[in-house]
Amino acid sequence: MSSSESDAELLSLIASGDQDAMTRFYQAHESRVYAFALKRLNDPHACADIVVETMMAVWNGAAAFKGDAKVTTWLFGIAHRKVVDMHRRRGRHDAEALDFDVADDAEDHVAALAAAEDGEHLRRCLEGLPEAHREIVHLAFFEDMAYPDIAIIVDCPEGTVKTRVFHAKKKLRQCLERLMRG
Amino acid sequence: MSESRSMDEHELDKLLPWYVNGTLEGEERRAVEDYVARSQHARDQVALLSRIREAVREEQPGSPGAFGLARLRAAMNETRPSPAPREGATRWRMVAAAAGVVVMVQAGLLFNRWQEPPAYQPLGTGDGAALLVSFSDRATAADIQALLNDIDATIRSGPGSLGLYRLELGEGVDEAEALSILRAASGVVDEARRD
Repeated sequence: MSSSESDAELLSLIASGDQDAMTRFYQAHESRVYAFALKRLNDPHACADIVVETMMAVWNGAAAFKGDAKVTTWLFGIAHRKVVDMHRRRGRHDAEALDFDVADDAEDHVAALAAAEDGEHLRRCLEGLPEAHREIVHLAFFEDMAYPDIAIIVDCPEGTVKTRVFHAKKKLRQCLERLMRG
Repeated sequence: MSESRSMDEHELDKLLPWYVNGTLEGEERRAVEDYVARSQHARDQVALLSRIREAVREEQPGSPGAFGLARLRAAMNETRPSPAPREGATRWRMVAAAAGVVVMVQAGLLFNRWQEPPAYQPLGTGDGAALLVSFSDRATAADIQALLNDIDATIRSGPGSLGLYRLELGEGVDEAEALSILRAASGVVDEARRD
């Protein structure tokens, strides 16, 4: 059930109250929603709750889906809002993200690339990114989403999405260079 | 170096992640392809971004699986009940609902076992007092885990035919106090009594 057409067909069935269609939709997307939530919450139980809350929103809101965006864009947008709501319930503010535009500084791509060959180094640096950056890097590289779709999901301007990934790459490069220097 | 690159190239730098994930189209794609062809700096960035993408895609975060599906089904049944039941269907629905709760709690326990050392232990001959409990169909695995931790209890067996679990209390835990805590957890526990 990975194609948009199949997802749209499933949503249509879900809108008519078809629980089997909802089960198939859940099975097709639950691991993706869980992985997405994990980028911001880092709490397996809370992420399991986000998956169920998101799928319930699909169950209750399928009839309202107009097809203006891809089904997955709509789905991840719901999940994003659920994560933000959970942060609010827990009294947390969204993690700060550097969204102002700056040029890259002096770069040592050779050192960064060499360090990036070590998967453990790269994972450590990825985990060290601010939440908002981890979320967008995940959507860009795990989900391979286009930046206009990501902008819809996280509800911010397209320019902000591009700037966040640019900053994330810069932070990763700096982290990798530090690790390379020991 | 940034000083030697024009603002245009800075804008092109910001499109490179989407060149790497294959989602750029039209004019933007052509502009970035030209940029990559003429610039070593761009090719270095593409190499780094490609390695980052590779690492991100290697992650295997798992999922709630059957546990989440059981919770979803319970919630769906609650929010959008099916039309009036046929005669004789009520008993079937009650049995199905009970089975659903059993599947959900069992799946929840499996989920917990996958995530962390559980409070659920193999059957044994514990010395603590025993209580019988049925959990709410709205209780999450995290709720149940937290409650068991609060009263220092472990699940020794269950669910039985009525959906009851037998809990064993830790040594020295006051049985009456534990019962009181269980009964006060109205969103997690439907029923709690001495074995």
